[in-house]
Amino acid sequence: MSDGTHTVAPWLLPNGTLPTAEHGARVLLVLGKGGVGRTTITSLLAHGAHAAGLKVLVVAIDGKSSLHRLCPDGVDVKSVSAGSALEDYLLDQGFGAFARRLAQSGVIEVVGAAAPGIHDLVVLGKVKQFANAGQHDVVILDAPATGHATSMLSSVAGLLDIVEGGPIREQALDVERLLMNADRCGAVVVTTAETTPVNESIELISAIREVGVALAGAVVNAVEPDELLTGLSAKELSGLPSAVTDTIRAAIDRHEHSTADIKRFVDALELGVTQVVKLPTAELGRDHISDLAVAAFEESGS
Amino acid sequence: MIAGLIADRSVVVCCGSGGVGKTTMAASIGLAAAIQGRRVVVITVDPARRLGDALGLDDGLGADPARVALPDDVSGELWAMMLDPAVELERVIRSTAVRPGQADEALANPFTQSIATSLGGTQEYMATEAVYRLISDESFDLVVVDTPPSDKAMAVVEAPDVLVRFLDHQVFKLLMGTGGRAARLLSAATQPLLKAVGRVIGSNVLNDVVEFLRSFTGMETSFRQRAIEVQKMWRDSSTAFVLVATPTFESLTEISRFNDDLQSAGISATSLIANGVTMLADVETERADLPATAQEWLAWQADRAASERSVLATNSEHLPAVTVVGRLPHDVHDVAGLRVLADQLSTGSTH
Repeated sequence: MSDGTHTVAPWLLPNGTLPTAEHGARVLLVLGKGGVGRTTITSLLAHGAHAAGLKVLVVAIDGKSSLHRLCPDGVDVKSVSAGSALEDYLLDQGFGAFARRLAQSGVIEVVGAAAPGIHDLVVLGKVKQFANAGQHDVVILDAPATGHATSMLSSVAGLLDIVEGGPIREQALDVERLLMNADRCGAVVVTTAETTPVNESIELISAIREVGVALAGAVVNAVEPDELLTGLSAKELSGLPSAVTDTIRAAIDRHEHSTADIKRFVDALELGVTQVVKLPTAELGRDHISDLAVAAFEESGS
Repeated sequence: MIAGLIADRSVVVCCGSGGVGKTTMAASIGLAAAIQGRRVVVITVDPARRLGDALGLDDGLGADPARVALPDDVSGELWAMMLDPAVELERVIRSTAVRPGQADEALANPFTQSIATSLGGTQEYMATEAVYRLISDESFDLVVVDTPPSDKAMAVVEAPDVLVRFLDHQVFKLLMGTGGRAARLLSAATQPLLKAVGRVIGSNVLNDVVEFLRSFTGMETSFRQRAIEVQKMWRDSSTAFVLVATPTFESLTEISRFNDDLQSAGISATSLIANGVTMLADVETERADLPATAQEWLAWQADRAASERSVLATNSEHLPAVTVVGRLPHDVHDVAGLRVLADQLSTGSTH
């Protein structure tokens, strides 16, 4: 880290300076389709920000334990349960044991449905509370999968339409102020280099823009090593067992497709894309993520 | 074993986290059963459009089963549909209404539609209703259910229990005005609370909720009846739960957690599909006739394959028997592509 700014991902530096707890933490929302590796990228961002000397909080929804395992020591990990966040909120508002009783009866669920997005709002409200607590420089949210993430981001505007007054409306206004502030909050979109995830990510990006949240970064995760096969001649392939030849041909084909998919993603973004390679292991650990983070941030800094 | 389920069960429920290929597996199981001559319907509860995509249905799927064109040598039938919670809710309301005009009143409430899509558990409950309707339909031998990602899949299984609990709860009885003296006593205690809740979320919202619930008066009995039947259906020996995971530590840990939840609900999964397994495990990687980069690629594949094998071996002790499905070079977008998977499932190599 001879030159600090060059090892730090650009999404940490919306206005060229590192965020600080006293000015309010920078909030990153890590978004993407199920299975593209949002949790991997969340912990990779945590590694990067931690290495830059920032105090990092990672927020998981519904208690994913793997973040504890993947994030470096010194990074705080908190879990927010979407199900109980509303109950907690009512408890915070002084409703005591009745809140719990209502929650158990299912009536709270009905109320939640009548005011769609109220669960999402209380989750975002928690994130806002963490970000404004002055304890951390960066708060990274491992957000739910694409479909739900878009409704989560639009929940605030939706609620403001329905709820005319009271603390929920105040909360929604507060959360909106944070989400729309490009200096404080940004989305990081994660995809893999495959057709369906790229299509969904492009849709997600327009949804994010529509809601008015700034796009802070984009990651293509789990990039295959297939580039190694470029330029392999038919003659070189001829001596191999047919099962191997078939697999190699398929991989060359896959590489062409994924190169095209990555290009489509980059074109839609109008923003640099960080590529993170797939590793030859089925059990990613903290050390792997740390190596991937170093590689990713060197690349985006250069 | 997958091959056995395909031949003799009447319901197969596919469960797994997002992105593991659950929908494609559900479609492949359906196709494999159709190849054996069975009449199959696949229903997807996942709002993503993957099922129509995998089957090559360009127009997408509707709330009623649509027949999938299959090659001539397939003797069975394959149908597919996507759950539309709003359509399903309307069906349920119309079939359970106890007095003339009640269904229309309930449906006219502005919250009925939003309830169908956003009330936690409603969508899942509607899924169970749809599955129940399909298994009662004589034109199908097998219903394959593609569930939402695993955190929501448990909600599908538990939906009937949640509904019964809700219907039995005093607060519900109070809101419906159907409780006895005990409920009225509770009423005195809770009304100020409801007012307070109203202050938080806006009293207009709360009034509409109460109005909504009251429009269902009298329908609880049939709701409860159906919920109990569905509870039985999930636990019937003709129903099989199939877990789908990728051969990674992360995915196997998640599916184990889900399997534990299933077991606590009194359900034993029958089979585990490890999808997308790297197949070049036993290839000679040092070949002088290949460029160094290609040898490096082969070594990468061999390392990955070995790592997947070891992760599968060490993390599947408490899981049902594993059927391995090799990684395909592309997403599946037609019946021909699905057939490759269906054949792998029918002949299934097992660990």
